[in-house]
Amino acid sequence: MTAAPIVEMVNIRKSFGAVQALREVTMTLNHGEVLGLVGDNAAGKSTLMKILSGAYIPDAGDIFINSRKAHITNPEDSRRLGIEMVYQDYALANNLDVSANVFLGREIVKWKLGPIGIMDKKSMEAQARNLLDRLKIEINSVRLKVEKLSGGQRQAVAIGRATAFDAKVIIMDEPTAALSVAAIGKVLDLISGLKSLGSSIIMISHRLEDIYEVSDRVIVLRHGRKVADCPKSGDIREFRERIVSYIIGARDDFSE
Amino acid sequence: MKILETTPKNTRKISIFWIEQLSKILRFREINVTIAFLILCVFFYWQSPNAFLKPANLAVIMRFVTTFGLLAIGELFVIITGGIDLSVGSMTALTGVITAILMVKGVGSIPPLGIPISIVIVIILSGLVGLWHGFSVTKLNIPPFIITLGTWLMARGLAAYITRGYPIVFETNFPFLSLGQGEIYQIPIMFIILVILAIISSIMLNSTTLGRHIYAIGGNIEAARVSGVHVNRIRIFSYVTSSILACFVGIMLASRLGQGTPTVGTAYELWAIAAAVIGGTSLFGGEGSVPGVILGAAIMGVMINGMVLLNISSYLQNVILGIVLVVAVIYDTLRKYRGK
Repeated sequence: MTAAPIVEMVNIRKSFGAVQALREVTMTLNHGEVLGLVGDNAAGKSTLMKILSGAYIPDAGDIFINSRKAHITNPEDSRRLGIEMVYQDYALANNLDVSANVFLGREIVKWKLGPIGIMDKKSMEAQARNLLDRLKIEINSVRLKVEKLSGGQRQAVAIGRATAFDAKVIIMDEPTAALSVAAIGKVLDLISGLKSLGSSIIMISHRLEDIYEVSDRVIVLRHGRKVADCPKSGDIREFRERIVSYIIGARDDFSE
Repeated sequence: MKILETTPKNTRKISIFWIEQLSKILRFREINVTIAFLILCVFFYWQSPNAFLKPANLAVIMRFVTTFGLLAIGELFVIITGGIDLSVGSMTALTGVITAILMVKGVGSIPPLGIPISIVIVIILSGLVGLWHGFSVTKLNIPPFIITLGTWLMARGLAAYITRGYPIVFETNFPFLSLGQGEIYQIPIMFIILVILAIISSIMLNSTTLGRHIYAIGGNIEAARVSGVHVNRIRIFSYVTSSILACFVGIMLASRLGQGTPTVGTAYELWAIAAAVIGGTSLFGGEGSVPGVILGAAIMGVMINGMVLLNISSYLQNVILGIVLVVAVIYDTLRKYRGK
């Protein structure tokens, strides 16, 4: 593990009109770490992640990627820095097959004529197959349309898609929210698998048992402030009690 | 209590079973449309063996397929992205009329222009109409149904206004007329143009990033957007394509009829949509193919032609075509049901 964190967000501030969504939030993510990001609704989790993924621009504060100052003003900047976001509602096109979804927006092109590129479907299919095998995602054929897949398989494709392009940091917004119990297990296995392959992951979730299962460290936000930043410890009951007390405001490690 | 509970469940199970069986047989959409087309051909050949396969009759069918096939390809591009284009029928009239005016009369003090320049000008004009549709749908957020309905009225009205309702007639030996009337080895030149454009658009939809993005927008526009697809640009492109294909049809019909007529192409947009739907295009977007819509147009063409040969009343012809359309849509729904 390298000493310097892969992502540092320092004193991030963001307001929407009169609402202060984030007040001087500082967050770090280490190499090969799974960080759980929790908090009540409107605590600022999604806003913070949208700043990192380039969907929002912060009012103040700095972002460092591998100790180098980064200027992220749109999703493409963030993607170029190796940051990928997996959306809660899968963000897949159900009428397209698995391979088309994995490569959507970044198709491999055989040759190009102005804005029109002829796709290299064979290499896309082969690479998509490799990706599924590497991540141990069980899908019979990359030519299956996404609409034929189960919820868990779809989320796996969405996560796989995020990792397909050398992503160093993967942000997951509620990856287990819409899934059955069996599918949740598989997705959590997938997250652990990604970690062992060297990815650094930030996972937003309301399901504390999922956070407990896969994450190394937890950050709790409340009303746009960081109230806790602690490694995972204790058994699930203690963990849950402690985190909930941070979420509801009974405890605060960073109060002035 | 128990009986009351189990009875409806069982019947539902049985009906699901039959629906599944039925849709399993009908799974490969294009294969089925092809089979339907071939059966129709065999049937009409059997019913009127002397007339149906005559080159002159086949040429009639091919011209029909060209007209509605091209319009349906344009609709396909728009419908896959989840839109609709109701302006194409009126656009054939307007572009036909403008073509005739540019070639025959000239505008104001400008003398008649040459054939190629006139064609280029109408294509550019209709491209601008497509741009307007695309811009309104993507930037102004106006429903495509409404914005193209506006053009449906305006284009038809404008065509009648600038001609004062009278057709603009070409001289009989005007060279432009060979585009719509000429044949090569008894195959209408129009039809050859259709084949070329169909191949190009099919490759575009299937093998290019552009085509993939068109389907992706129809499947999940938000997913396409966050994946970095230039959603608006591509939707605008599809409306431009539809308008330009309508323009091609307008030019060819003007040539075929030997005149630019403001009344040509009435309700053609609906026939084009019907051809697309019969050929497996889903009006919800995300689904459909070029071979499918051409086959849809061909089925309609062969049916209309065959029914004329069989002396079926033209009123009844419409009833039968309506039934075919409805059956195609029900079929589509059953297929979806299986997918779920």
